[in-house]
Amino acid sequence: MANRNVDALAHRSATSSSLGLLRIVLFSTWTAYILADPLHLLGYLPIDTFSAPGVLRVLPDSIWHVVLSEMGLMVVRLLTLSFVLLGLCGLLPHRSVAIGAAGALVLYQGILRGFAGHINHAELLLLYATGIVAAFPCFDAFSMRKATASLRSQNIYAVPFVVIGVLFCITYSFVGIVRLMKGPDLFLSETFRNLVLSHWIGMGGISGEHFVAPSVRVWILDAAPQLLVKASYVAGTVLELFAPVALFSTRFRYLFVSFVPVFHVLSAVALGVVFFENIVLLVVFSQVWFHQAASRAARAVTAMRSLWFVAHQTPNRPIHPASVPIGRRVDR
Amino acid sequence: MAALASPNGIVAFAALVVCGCIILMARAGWWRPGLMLEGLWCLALVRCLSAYQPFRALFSQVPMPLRLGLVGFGVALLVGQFLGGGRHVYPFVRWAMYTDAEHQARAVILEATTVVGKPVQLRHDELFPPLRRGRFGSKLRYAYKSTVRDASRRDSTELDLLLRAAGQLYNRAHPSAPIVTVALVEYVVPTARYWDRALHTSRVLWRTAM
Repeated sequence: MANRNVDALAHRSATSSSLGLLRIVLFSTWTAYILADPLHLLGYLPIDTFSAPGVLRVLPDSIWHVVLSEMGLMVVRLLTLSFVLLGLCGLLPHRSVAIGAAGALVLYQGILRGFAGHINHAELLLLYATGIVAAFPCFDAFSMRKATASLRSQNIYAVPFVVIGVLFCITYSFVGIVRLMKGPDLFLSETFRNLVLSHWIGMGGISGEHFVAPSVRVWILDAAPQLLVKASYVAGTVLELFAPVALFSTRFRYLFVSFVPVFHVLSAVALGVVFFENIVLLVVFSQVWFHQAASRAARAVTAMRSLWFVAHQTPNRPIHPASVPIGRRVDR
Repeated sequence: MAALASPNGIVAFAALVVCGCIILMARAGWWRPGLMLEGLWCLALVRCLSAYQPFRALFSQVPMPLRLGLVGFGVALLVGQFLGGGRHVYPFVRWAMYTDAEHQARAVILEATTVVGKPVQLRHDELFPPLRRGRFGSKLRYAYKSTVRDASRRDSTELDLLLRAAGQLYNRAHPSAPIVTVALVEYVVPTARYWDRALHTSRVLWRTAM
């Protein structure tokens, strides 16, 4: 009865396992990200070139002098990784661990942006999603916690999926409306080609007296009819603008979910802008299969735990049949 | 309280937040007409979401502290969108990627000279992988603008520090052929004939000795 309310994004079958699996997906993504990111190299940049962004301004300068050294940044990286791994494995299944991980990630991402010129958006949606999942009972499954899930309403596990879905669509819509409000010049001019070329120059396209032709990008620059390129830019923006319709309409959701990976792969190829985190977050639009997969995984984990438990309860020494009272069954 | 939780109450509350942000932006001289239309679009979204019955029913079952947290999160999201570029309101930012028209293909790159006079191009994304190309590139551009704007700081500029740091990191990886100067060079390429190297123009914006 209550779960009928969750029809919005077809998350009526969300369970503790679903939220647990979402936690694992998010924290796995962060783990890969942190492992691949040599944050300590920023220790080579002078501290005078750092300007703490937003909430990080509350930290005093003395702390930044310690944190922004090569060793300090290594500690931040390891600390963040520890929190994220604890959250991923569910070894310390407490909300404070997940919230601590989200806090550490805010610091980590803030350090990157403190050394950057503009505040870019990559990873921020994933950061928000992590914060939202951390605020909900994400350790009720796939963790060392004793089963408490039955004490909670099933709907509580659907809420993070819906909130992340809303957030996902709203951010795309924000980008769409800002682009449209900037006027037609953005779409009628050679902006897209210029962005592709600018990226290519920055990637070393010009080297001394040579200009290395931008391989795949040549198609966008020359082969594709420019009207098609411009029309695609407009169509992509309109689709972004109306992204929130995906929250209400199943058909539009299919269209949007198909559009996002294509859009981001093209952006990665043409502009070098990789938003793989957003492709990961599409799981919140997965409707039923994600929850089914989570339930199957939870059953598999339970079975493995039972096996492990049985294996560790079995004495090493074989039980002599004579030592077992008559009428009692011995499970081996 | 019940009136505030109604769709109209939620929209009124969101309108207060958005208008507050737009007024602050106007005071800072960053106001433009498009911002009002952005605000209206945003309020229309808030109206649709807050009136959607399945969402309302779902959120009514969320415990009050969490519900307040989600409201706070929504307010922060609006403030981030309508209050500048995100430097002051991080982790909430203005979602506005690739929203400015570019009439020229241009980029700044770092060009260095080794001790034997060989030119070398320093790739931002290879020197500082966490910053990628765009973040470090924009840092260099901002530092250049600030240097040009404030001529009194030319003895020890942020730009000098950044170029030297990039050079030192390069020299650490290439001790046999260290670089002695690093220059920030801007390239402009004509869009229609981008392949014609003769039409490319370059300008050294800043040069620093190691």
